[in-house]
Amino acid sequence: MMVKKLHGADNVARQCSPTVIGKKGPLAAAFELSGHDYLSVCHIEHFGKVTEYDNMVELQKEFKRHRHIGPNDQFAILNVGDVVKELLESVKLKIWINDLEESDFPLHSGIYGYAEDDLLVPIVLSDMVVKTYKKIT
Amino acid sequence: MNKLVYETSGFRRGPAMARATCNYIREYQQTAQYKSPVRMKKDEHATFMLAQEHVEALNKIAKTFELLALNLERTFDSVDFANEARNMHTPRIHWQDGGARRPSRVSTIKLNWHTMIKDAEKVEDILNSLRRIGGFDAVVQRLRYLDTATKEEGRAIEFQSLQKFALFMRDYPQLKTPEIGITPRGLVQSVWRMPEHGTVAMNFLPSGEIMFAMILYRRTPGTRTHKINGVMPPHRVMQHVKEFIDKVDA
Repeated sequence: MMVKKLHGADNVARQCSPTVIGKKGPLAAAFELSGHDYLSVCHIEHFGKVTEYDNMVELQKEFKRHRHIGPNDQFAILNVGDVVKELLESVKLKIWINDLEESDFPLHSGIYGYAEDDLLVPIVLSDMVVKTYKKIT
Repeated sequence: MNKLVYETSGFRRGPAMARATCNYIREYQQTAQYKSPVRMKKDEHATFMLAQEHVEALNKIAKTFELLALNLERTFDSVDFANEARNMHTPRIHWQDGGARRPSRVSTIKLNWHTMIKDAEKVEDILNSLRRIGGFDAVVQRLRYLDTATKEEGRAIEFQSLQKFALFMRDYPQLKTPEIGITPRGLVQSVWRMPEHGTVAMNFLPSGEIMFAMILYRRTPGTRTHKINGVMPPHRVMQHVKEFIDKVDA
């Protein structure tokens, strides 16, 4: 498996079920680790479309081939550069986001560098959500 | 440990007594390391809770009532608090005012919400208790939704986490309604946030402690972001986060 770091200008999407979405958007719970040493996200620019929306359409199509998307699920968008910078400044923590380049799920990426019992990083990630996309049919 | 809820009333013409009672209970709690909220409602009622084991406190409180009543030139029919505690009744406090005896307006046995939540066996029991306490409609509605949604995802809310969250809400009824979610481990998470200013998140652990974190962003050059996190009992967590939560828009 080849591992490649995402660039600052890249964006990633995190699937959020309604159980982790509050009135003001995704909660810290949406970004807590569980069972892995990385947070599972998808690289939005993987498909190379012109607009973010078009990329999200392709992303969700591909995502559906691997995972279930619930009717009320949303995808939270994070900018890689902003997230890395904010966590370094506010929490003094260096995280990194790798494109896992899994052959059967090529857009699958992971946010690394924090622990399962860390609540500060999930809070910052939830505060850094640029926007959310609902399920695109 | 069972807890008993005591309500005293009939203070319409003597709110000072209610205040003095609250102060007394707070003082007792500090020395006994027993924390539970003491509330006053409209200067008429003093509501407080004590553990059944704290019999000596009950008797001290009875003495306090007698002294206070004396100061207010009223008489106080002493209540055997300890006996009431054993019987799990809410004490009824009677006043003699101008010769005409009038009973306290607390004439019915009050339900003990702490015990009801602690003794709950199903999610629905907890939700019903919260609903009947009153003032938690939005919380109950959200929890009911989360219960259904987590089941649809093939998982479940950690029951003891929900219990501890309900007890927390019951203990801090004046708190702004939080955003509520379920963590990957099934714990109830409550979040208060002010966009661009900061966020508080609490995960309710089955042990009764809270895993929490608070971050306060400082965007002005030369200032540092404030942050705190850890695992603590609820009252300790509140010492750190209450000021922030009070400022959050509901």
